[in-house]
Amino acid sequence: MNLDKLSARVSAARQETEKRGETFYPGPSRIHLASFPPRERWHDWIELDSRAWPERVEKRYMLVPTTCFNCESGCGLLAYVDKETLQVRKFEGNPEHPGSRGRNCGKGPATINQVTDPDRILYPLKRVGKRGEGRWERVSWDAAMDDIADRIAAAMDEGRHREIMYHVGRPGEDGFTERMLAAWGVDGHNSHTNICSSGARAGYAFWMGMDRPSPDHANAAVILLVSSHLETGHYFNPHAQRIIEGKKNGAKLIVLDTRLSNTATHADHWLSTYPGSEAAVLLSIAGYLIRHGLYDRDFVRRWWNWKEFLDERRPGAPATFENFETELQELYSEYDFEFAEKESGVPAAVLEEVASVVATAGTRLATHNWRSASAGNLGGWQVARALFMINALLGAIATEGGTYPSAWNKYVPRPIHLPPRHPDHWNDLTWPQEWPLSLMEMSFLLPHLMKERGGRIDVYFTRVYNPVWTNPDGFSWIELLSDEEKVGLHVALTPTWNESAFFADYVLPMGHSSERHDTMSLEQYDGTWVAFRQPVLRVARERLGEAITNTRDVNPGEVWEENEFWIDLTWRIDPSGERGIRSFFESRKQPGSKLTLDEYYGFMFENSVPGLPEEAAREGLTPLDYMRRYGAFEVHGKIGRVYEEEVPAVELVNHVTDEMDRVFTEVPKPANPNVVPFPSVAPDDDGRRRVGVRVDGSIRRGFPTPTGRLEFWSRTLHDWGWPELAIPTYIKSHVHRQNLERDELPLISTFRLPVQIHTRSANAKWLSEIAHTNPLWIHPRDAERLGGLGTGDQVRVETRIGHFVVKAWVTEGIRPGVVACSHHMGRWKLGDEGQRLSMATVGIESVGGVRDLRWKKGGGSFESSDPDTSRIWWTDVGVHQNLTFQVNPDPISGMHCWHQAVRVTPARPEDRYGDVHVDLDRAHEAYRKWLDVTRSASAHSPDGTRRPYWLLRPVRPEKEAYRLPAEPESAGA
Amino acid sequence: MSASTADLFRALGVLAEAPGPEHARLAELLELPGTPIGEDYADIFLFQLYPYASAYVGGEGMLGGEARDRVAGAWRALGRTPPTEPDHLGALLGLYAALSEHASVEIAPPERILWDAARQGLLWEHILSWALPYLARVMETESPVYSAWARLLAQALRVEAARTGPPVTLPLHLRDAPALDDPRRGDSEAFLSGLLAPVRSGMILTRLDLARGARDMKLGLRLGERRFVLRSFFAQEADRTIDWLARQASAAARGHAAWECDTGPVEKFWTARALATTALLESLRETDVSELDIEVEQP
Repeated sequence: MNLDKLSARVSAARQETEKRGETFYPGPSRIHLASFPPRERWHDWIELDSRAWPERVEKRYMLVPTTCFNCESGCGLLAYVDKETLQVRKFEGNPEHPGSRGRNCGKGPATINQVTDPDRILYPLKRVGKRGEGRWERVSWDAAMDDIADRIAAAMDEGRHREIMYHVGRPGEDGFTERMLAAWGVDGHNSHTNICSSGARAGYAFWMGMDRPSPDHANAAVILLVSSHLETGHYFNPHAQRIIEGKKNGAKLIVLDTRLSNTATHADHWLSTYPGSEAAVLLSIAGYLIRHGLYDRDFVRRWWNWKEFLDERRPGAPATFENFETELQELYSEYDFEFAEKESGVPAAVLEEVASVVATAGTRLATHNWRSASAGNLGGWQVARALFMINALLGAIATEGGTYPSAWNKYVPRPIHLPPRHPDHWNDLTWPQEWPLSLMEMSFLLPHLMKERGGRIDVYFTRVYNPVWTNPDGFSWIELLSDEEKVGLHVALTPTWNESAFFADYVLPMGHSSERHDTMSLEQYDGTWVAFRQPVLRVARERLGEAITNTRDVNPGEVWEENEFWIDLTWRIDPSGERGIRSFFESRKQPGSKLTLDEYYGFMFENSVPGLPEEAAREGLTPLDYMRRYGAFEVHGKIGRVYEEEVPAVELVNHVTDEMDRVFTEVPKPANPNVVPFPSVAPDDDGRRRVGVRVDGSIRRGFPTPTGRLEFWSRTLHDWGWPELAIPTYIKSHVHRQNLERDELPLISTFRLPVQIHTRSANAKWLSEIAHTNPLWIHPRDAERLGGLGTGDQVRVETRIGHFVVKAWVTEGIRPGVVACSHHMGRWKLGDEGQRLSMATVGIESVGGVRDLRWKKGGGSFESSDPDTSRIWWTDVGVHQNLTFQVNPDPISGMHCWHQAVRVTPARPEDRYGDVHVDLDRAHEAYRKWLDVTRSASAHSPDGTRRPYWLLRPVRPEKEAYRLPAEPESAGA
Repeated sequence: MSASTADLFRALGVLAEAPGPEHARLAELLELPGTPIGEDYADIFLFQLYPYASAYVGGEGMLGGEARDRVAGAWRALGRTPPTEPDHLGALLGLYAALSEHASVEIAPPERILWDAARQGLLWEHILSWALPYLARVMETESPVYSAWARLLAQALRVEAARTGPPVTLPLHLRDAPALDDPRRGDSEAFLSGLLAPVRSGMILTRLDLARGARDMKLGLRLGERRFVLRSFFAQEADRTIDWLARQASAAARGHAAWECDTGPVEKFWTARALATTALLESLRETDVSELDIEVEQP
């Protein structure tokens, strides 16, 4: 056999195939996951029908990409659309997606469960009878839309813009709805972030302006996590795969977690810290680097705002870097390993060993904190600040293997209309002046704020959000939502039933990830990408020649999608355009007609995603068709150290440098198709734009902070009433031992069950089979102390406002003296409506200010269109502990500090599994106590405004609205 | 080796993977008789002759373990992230092709030499250390296309071996390979396992071999994994089993001597191991087999 001849044949065939942009070599020997269907065959992919086994029956599929909507990672999915039935048969990963790269966790493929869920909401429903009574009637979309639009229009006409509120859980999109609210002129955006990630994000924002980290795990030498990113957490799947890559390449993994999480099991060093002591541990590592001179001196000298710090701390003394280093030594000398051991319970020798590992990382230190300790504790924001300080000491910021600021690794394409409007008012129900530095809206306090301060919400949208179940103190939310005087109309936009929707006036079904349009871009590695979520059946049918103008026409029942919903609603609010709103939702191609989503996304992909039009043209496609076909596009790879980039001369015409080395220019900001939110850095007194910062004689881009540098010392914190916390420090948690009664323990509730995702995945049968309950983790020593508790025994967990009854899980995977219970599970319904798969049927008894929730029936099997529901073998669907949690708003970040002080005792004879008991008066008292420790803008604002203008804020109002009112609005400190 | 030869190896590597429509095209390009189909693939690669280095050069005769780690280490040493199955024949041939391409396009002489050294190291340490005896067994299968595939790949590897010349020292896998245990020294379990570990016994015993052995020896074939089957042979008729095994080992030794290629110490190693196994088994004929303490276990 002539090998050379054969070789030449193969080679020629390969070149010819690849010239067509097709895949020649399949299979895992080429690249990871190359065994995915080659993309040129997505239009007609053949697989054997597993249900026909052992017959070999071929099924033909059209593979249509979309983006997962179960958590906020935005992973790519491929929907396998059966060409015969035009139904989705399954979901797998999309190998073309730069973030997830074809890899998915269980939640992605489980989307098919949600699509085919027999209990999903298929038609618009309107309540009948009293709110919360559980009686509904089907209504037409038109009737619902007209009703809602009329109310909003009336509120606008009467200047009641504050009474329109949109409360969102997972955005799952990049700014569409915020831009809509801006177009409406409504400061009504209310996010869930202050019960989620505000703590950590505030810590990052005070350092670098941008509020999220983007660690480059794959290239790290050391990965330091205060999160459980191998099983849960934001961007968990894209990060988890890169953490494992990093580990395979030899990176050391260090995990701070009180629990032996799945992530901790993979760690080289697992530090089971006492809850709330994490900042002490991190500062001891920072202190070690400082004491031993193991930090990057040049980086610190160039990029920290040490001069500003010295000017404040040692006015008159020479502002030399050497003097700063002396100060730094002194400031952090108290954070030694013995101190950290005392706080955390982790031996000093272990901490020293870990610190020595961190010191070897150099600029390859990838760190991450999202929720975890930052979300659990008073002062949790300082955990992220202490963690990022280690990066800042090592210069491991935006370096290969280091940690990148979020906004440089995110791409939000400029849309066809970008409303220049800002609301002319300030919504103090979401941004009360007691929390001027809160990262996001004080959403979870709404019932208490309205109870004390009055106010009314005429139209309240909840969208992929379930405050009754998700927020602490859910009974106060039930009180609020049941009160028609306070909430005029509650519209729940949701694909599935949830506890808050039971207290709505309209329940409007919105699509799952394969039934709607959105774009997403997330900081998951050093690069930027855009992913497209799309209604896959609409795309499939359009490819087959049908003309579809409304996603509702192809979705199950009358399920709609929000993009089209909001456009339609806006047109009904402003049918003639007189209110000046409609123009932002009008077609440019056909003025006077509604903007279609093809035009909206077509414009975006054509004009605002560099490189996409060219890439699409290479395949003979329009940019929109390219995204419909492949679902994602990488805009840039390897962004690198943006702060070190020299500002080009063209931007420096008539520039001036101030005494803080900040450089301002008269040149307007160059047009940028990426509209990712950035902090609003102030111009100089003459209105020049800040363009950079002078470092060692060169003008560099710097960071979007007030100084342009990394803010080790935060003037913002200093000037707004918190001078003692202006540098990274350790704040003793509200569950610090000294703040607990002798018989109290900290309860950790901030962790997820690995396959679940809050209330989103309740209707996924595969996921529920794997994880459907949330026992209380308790150490054997504590179990012994409580009379020899065993796994499965029922315990009563008393918080300071009530109690719940749950089963114990005796495990050494938790520190002695600490208990833990996942915030997932414990779903419930009041009557027949709801998810039978995952919800217990309960009754709620109200006596005065006391509420008791008790199970009537657990989960279990039931007959439905899905034969699997008759095979459900479990009845335990967990306990809803969040109802018994008081609100703990951090006075700075505004984050709800989730950890609770609890007493654990064996269940009493009258207790039954799932019982929840809450005293609403005590809940409100708890709110008052936290309110007392705030430092309000009215007392501390340095400039008469409600909030530092430079900080990020959704739907930023006009500058004038920032001014504090002449009269105090509330009773803050 | 030229860049186009790299494609030959890559294509041959792909054919060791589960067949799809692309495999038919590749088979046609390589003039193989017929189309790879799932049944043949499953029988050969999933049940009889696993295409993984660790199964042949690992002391346990199983997938994974130190041998796979060593192969993964080679990937890392080359600056690459090891794939999930770093020692799969397809992955190794793909890597070999990639290194060959690097070497062929590298302009700077020192770098070219380094790439070439890496390629040679991979060829001898992780491919030729086991592939020829493995492919010889695939050639014996009844699948025309896979049998021809094995012949073609063996031919291509022989050309590469001749081009580079045999190594001076044994590949590390073989240098470190433990010998077959003598059951008279007390560990009959290790002896049984060793018979099924090619690097210890010098022979490859497939499920099909055992089925044929049962037929030849007129023994009952109990269904189970290979060690269980082998143990059941001993329990039924130990003397006949020892004779049959000795014939297998002897045949393997003859096969190794017929590789038609100078692989230097590699061929000598495999032949020596097979002959040693033959000798050990023959010596066991003199032993009271009941002393070997080989018992059949319940499945």
